[in-house]
Amino acid sequence: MFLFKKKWIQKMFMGCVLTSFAGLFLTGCGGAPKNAGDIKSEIHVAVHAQPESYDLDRTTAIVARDIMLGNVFEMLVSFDRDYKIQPELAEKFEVNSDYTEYTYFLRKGVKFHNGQEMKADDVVASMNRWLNDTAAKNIMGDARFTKVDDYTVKIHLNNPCTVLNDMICSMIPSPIIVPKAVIDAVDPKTRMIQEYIGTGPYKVDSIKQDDYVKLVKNDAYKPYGEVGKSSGWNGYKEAKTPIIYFNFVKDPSTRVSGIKSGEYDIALQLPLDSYSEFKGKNDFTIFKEAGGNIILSYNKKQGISTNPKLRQAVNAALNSAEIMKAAMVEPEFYKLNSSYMMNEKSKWYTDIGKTWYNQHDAGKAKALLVQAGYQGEPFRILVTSSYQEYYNAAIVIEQELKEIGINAQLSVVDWGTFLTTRKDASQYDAFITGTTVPAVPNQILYLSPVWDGWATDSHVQTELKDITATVDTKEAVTKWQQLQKYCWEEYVPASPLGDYFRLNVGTSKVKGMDWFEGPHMWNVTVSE
Amino acid sequence: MGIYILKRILSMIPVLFIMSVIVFLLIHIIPGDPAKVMLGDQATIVEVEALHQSMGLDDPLPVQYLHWITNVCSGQLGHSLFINESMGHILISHFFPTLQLTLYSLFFAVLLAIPLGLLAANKKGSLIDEGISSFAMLGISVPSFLLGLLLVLALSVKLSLLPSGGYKSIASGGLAANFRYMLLPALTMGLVELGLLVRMTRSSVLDILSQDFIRMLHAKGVKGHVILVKHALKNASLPILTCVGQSFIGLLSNAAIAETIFNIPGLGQLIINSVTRRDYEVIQAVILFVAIANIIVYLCIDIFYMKIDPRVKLR
Repeated sequence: MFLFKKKWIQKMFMGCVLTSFAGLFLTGCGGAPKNAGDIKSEIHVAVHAQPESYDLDRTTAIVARDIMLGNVFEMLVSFDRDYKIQPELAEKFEVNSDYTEYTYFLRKGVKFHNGQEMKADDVVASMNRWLNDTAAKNIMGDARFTKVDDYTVKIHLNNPCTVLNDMICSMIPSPIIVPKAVIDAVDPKTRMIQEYIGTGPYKVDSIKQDDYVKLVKNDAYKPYGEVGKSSGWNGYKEAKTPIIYFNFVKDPSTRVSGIKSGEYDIALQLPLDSYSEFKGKNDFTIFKEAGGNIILSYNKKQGISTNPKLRQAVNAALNSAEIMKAAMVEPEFYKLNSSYMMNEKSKWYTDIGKTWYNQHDAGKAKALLVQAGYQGEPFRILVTSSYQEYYNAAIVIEQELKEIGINAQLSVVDWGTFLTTRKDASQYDAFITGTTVPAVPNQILYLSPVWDGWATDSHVQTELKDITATVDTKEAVTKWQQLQKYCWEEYVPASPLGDYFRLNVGTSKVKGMDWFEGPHMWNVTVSE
Repeated sequence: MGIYILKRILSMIPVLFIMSVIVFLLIHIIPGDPAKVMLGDQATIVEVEALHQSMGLDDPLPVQYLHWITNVCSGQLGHSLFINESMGHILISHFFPTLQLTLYSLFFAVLLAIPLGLLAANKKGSLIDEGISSFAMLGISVPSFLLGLLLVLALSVKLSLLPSGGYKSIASGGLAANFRYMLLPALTMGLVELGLLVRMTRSSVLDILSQDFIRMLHAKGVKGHVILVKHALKNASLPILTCVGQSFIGLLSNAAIAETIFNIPGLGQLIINSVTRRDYEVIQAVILFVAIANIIVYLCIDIFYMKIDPRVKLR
């Protein structure tokens, strides 16, 4: 301290400090020199939201699936790009003629990330956890998986079910396969697994809350199938890039600037008003992804929406073209679609019922209102401001309903409040949300008796069970078509407004990306 | 001074207690349920209720508060429903980026504000003074989020000079990488504080320059820059110091904006995320933490006062 009193020492000290900062600044402005043609050792993916849990068997958060499914966790079977069921952790599977018994023959020598070999006990524990704790049990009833031997499991059903494999491939929560010991050690409070140990080509290195998830190459992974051939979730999966970072970047403008400045190699769910900044630009690749349907789901448990005539009236008034344009803005990112099943490749896809879609018929709507005995009661529409597209749709719907004499009122809340309020049937008459792409009709949320909206119609439930149990495909499809018609014409559990797509962007240096219902990081490289 | 410090610490306790009750009530009154957030949009009511029960969210509010305050008094700040780490680790790991951002911002602000303020005071009424005052006004007027986005557009996207966002700790990336990632956010926040500090420095120095002893120093032939720095600035330092302290608190509390734009995993992001997912105990812990930090900073300022100006006595 004595020495510091000398003026020349003080000046020298300040000089050193300032020089250091200048040096840091100049160092900061640059970066390590790169050679063209080199492949990056790490990929940075900017993710729009942080999932609250990565236990895919319990959470329905799509972003958790984007990060973990296929990269870290795998399933018995999975979809290829044509939505055909392909073996994954099961080397092959057999189904008996009346679809009451499914047998899965497991691949031998598949190692979990902790070095333990995957065997039947792990699969039985994982699959039964999925059956016990998710909506799958509504279809499967009491049936549970059992071990036949160390590499064979089966499930015997009391009633025929033609769609079990479809459900395994597409249902959220997903039936991931984890070690039995991990399931035995679930947190008793949250009932979630505490370790993320899967079989995938990547394993979890670290999760830094509010920052990133870091995946690293699983050196023990042996790809399945033919070298270089992968399709959808399935096929030859190689961890060509050793490290993957999923960075949580909630602010959409930060993701946009991040992908443009090269901070991120891939950015998920960019705002659609940034589309023109990437469209047609050689430096970027656009990955357009089917998001699902935007729907106006009615409260069929309590209130004025329990009246089917009122629901038909509201449905008749809606101009889906206007609503979807307001919601999504960019025409390339939405599609008017009357089919409850979005996927045109699916056998379940049908436009039966299109007469009752996008009617925007004010005369018909008013006549139905009279039949419903509507007396001007408030029609409360619950919507969240956390998703701009839903909010935009709600503004237009409110106006369209007011024009035909419905006292429409919006209740706009944040996401957390939206999830809570939706469970309280006394708080709203309809809500707006998006649903994911279903693979089979009984996955359609607004046909579920236990999902918010409460579609408890006996005809719907009976028919859905019947469709699932119908062995003949053509007959099952015909039944589904009739059910869809019934829903559009009479029951109206919800008004699907249209399909929406998500804007995801990668730099042009990203190679090998096969985007299918999410970013698949296997086989992907990014050049320097 | 020791008695003064002890008195200040003891006076914190009722303040913190009242604040904890208010915050607890507020966050529990707003709708929302962490169980529903955890399970996601497509969870059924049966699944949610099961998780609700197992997480203990069914207990009456007074019981939940009592449970939490008892833990706090025994040194445990609670636990997060979503982050599988101790609360202490959560707070510290998120505090460091915010602290770094605050210190870098303050450093830039002070480094530029003091000389600019002195220059403006010295050249009062001139074009230089007007220019500096206008620049200061601009810094105060422009919203920080707009400034941040403009800086990102210019320096990251267009010129590729700096990263557009993210954070690298000193431990993982080294000091150079840490500084590189913090530079833009620090400039964003620092430029706003710069405006305030320039104005405060200018007006405080002008007050001193108008006093008799300064005239005497001129008469004695003391050089202008010596009068300005050694005498005027030193005597004007008390209000400037207060402003610096308040800037520190302001930067610490308002870091959420910069942390959101630049994606820095600091306290601001933590509290926003915790409110979104209704992570009750984290919200309470962060607010308590920031309140204690505020009180400590003001206490330090008071002690500094005493060191700088011997006339100040702490009682």
